[in-house]
Amino acid sequence: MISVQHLRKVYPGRNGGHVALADVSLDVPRGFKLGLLGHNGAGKSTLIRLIGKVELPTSGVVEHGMSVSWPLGFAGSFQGSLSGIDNMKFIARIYRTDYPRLRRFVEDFSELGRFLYEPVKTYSTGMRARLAFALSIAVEFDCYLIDEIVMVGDSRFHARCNEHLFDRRADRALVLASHDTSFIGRVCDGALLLSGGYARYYDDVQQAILDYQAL
Amino acid sequence: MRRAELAGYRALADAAQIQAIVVGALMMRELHTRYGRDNLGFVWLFAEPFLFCMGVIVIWSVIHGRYEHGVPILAFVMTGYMPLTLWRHITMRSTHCFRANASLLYHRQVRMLDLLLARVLLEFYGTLIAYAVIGFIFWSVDLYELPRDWGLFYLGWAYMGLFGCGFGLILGSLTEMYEWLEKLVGPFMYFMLPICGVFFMVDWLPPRLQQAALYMPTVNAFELIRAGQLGPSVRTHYWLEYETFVCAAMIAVGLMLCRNVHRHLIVE
Repeated sequence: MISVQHLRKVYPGRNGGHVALADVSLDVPRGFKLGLLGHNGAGKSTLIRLIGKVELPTSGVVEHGMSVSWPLGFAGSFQGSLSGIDNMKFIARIYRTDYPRLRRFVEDFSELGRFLYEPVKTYSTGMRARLAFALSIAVEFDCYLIDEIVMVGDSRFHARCNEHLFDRRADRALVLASHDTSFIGRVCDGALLLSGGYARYYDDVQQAILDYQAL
Repeated sequence: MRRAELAGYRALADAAQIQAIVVGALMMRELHTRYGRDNLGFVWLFAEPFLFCMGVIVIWSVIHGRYEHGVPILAFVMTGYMPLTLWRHITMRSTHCFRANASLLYHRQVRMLDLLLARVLLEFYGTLIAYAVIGFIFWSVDLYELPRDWGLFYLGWAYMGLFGCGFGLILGSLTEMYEWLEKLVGPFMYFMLPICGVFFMVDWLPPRLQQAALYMPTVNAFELIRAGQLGPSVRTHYWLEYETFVCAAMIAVGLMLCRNVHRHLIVE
């Protein structure tokens, strides 16, 4: 179970800085799928980075009672000047996973072929998403933090994501930020609506979506 | 031993193991990004200090001949310029080190300290290899003698590395907090040249300056390396208690600054 208590994050800036999150608490039990809703700048990505312990909160506590993935999103987690293969080796080393097995899976899942030998900065957004996704699934986590990334890519990629993340790994927890309300409505067990630095939790995802659209 | 205590030690050992793996992986990665896989690749890690030091040796030998204050110029330049190169490279690599690698912080087992440590260790190994290569070349033509006291020699290098580590942590954090500081690094390093100990031995100074010189942490490191290299043929002065204290204090301050920077760092 992930436990988040009274999270506050203030980014430095003019006029005393920008309050991205004022006071947010949440729990993610094992296997639970939590959707994050909110307009641009409401703090969804910030919250995901804080849950992933990538950035440190101004105050508040984040506790991981299970293994949590790095935040899967458009930015970060790759060194652009390195090839896909080098990035793969790096991930395998720091997450202490078996490299040959990881490589087989990533080659198969990402379908990047010879592009794996090219620098990641030459990849398209969809190619990056495929690589990031393949790596995180190959490492195996109890909880995946996903920031929009499932939305990119073609229908074939969507189908494979669905198969690997929602069918084969249906027992894993998810924290999912997205503007795609129908997707959130389909897969999530609960939703958190972020607005003005505060969060409101809904057991009823459909109600959360209605309130989000009324904002 | 109580069970809780034992679990604590195990967690500590596990954390240390993870840190070692992460730093190792970062070093591999740094080698690839910095030198690529084309041309000479990571040979540049020690080829660069090698070329620099060889050039200086040639110039000094022309200007000063083979001895200065009874000290062989070759060994004096090697024990001066190589550790200086280490310090300068660490300075270069730690400026904006965290910003350049911020995307790696996406993996939470990678910490700020690891990013810096990987760079410092690479420079440390690179410089030592360069020293060994130069030493071997001149040793094979009888111009260079092996260090007389390996213990003192490596102790000096270790202090240089620890000092560099503290300096890099502080500089890396401060340049992240104050952009303009980066512009002052060049002049600062230049003004450090005459007082850092690369050009003199403490024994050559007037007595009242000798004690003062030992307040400069790098002077102690240079003296130790030279004491190890040259042996009892020269008089060396060093102050181990002070050196240990200053290095530890710099690392402690650096770690605190690091923590503070992480709190404010925006990971793209």
